[in-house]
Amino acid sequence: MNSHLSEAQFQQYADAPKQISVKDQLHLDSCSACQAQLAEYRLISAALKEMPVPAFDFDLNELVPQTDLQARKASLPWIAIAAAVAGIAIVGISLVGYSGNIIWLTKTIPTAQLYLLSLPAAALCITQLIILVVRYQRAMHEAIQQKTIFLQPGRNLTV
Amino acid sequence: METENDIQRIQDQQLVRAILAGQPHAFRQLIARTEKLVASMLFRMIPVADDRKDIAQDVYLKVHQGLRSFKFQSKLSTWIAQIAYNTCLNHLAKKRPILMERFFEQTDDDPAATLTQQQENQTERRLFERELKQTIEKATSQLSPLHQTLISLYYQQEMTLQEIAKITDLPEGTIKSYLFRARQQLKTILIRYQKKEEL
Repeated sequence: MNSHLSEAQFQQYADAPKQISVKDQLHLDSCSACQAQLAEYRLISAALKEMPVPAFDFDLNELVPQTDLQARKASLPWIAIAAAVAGIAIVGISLVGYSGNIIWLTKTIPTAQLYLLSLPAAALCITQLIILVVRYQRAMHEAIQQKTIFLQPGRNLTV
Repeated sequence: METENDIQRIQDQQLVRAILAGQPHAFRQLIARTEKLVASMLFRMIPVADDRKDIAQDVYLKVHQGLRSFKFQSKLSTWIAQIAYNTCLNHLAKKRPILMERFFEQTDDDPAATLTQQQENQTERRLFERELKQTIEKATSQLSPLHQTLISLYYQQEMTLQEIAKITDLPEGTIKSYLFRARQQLKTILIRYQKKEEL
């Protein structure tokens, strides 16, 4: 006669009867002790699956109002658009207003100096933009994944 | 041929797109789809009823804020469960440090013992299957909050071990052994009741 099944096998087979191997099934067919053990775990699994799922006694839709979410979403593009329009307007007016000076500058200033001035300025703007995007993404990631404390079960509570 | 997971992912993508496009009721739909999952976690992890309301609100605000960065690397429900789990842990750590310590504690004391003492005071009665389920339900409530959460995710929400591992950030082997231990404790209770019935 084969040896009895282990606790782990009973638990596994109670949850997934299709996983019972042929060898174990043969043993189960002839061993009433193992049959009883398996039946107990099946009862437990069934009871756990049928346990009532708790429900909130409040309406989540009221707690998280749709209008707030939409306003939050809508507010960002308007600010961005307004800032972009203002920026373009300032640059445009400056270009028109100082066009004479700019033309004079580009004609008189050596090309090398022009690049020396304009390239660092462009690089600075691009760097700032990248930093802003990275910070935003990091902040969002932290807000979602934030885990102040985690740890090995039962031990090491550190903040 | 599309698998169940593919269909789920397409549904998730459609819902997220609708929310990000500002379609009315799309977020309501998301709440309706995941409310039970979030509730089952909060009820297991947060014993103080008053705290659950704030945490539930916090969870869904975080979900809304983070939807844009959600990359569909997991099911939407798994991602929301992960946010709920972490929000609960953070809440316990900040507001209820004692409960936080208890959360990860192993239940060394046998929940069956407490139950048996309670039940012994009651008048004798036959144990039918319905009563047995109630007994197991009661016994489950005496397991550690972590065990309860894992049982709820595994049996009630029918999540896989991989999904639970993603939510809780625990190794699959650890989750398996926690579930094993929890079921063993419940079996002890079952045997005691069966013996009592025979008497």
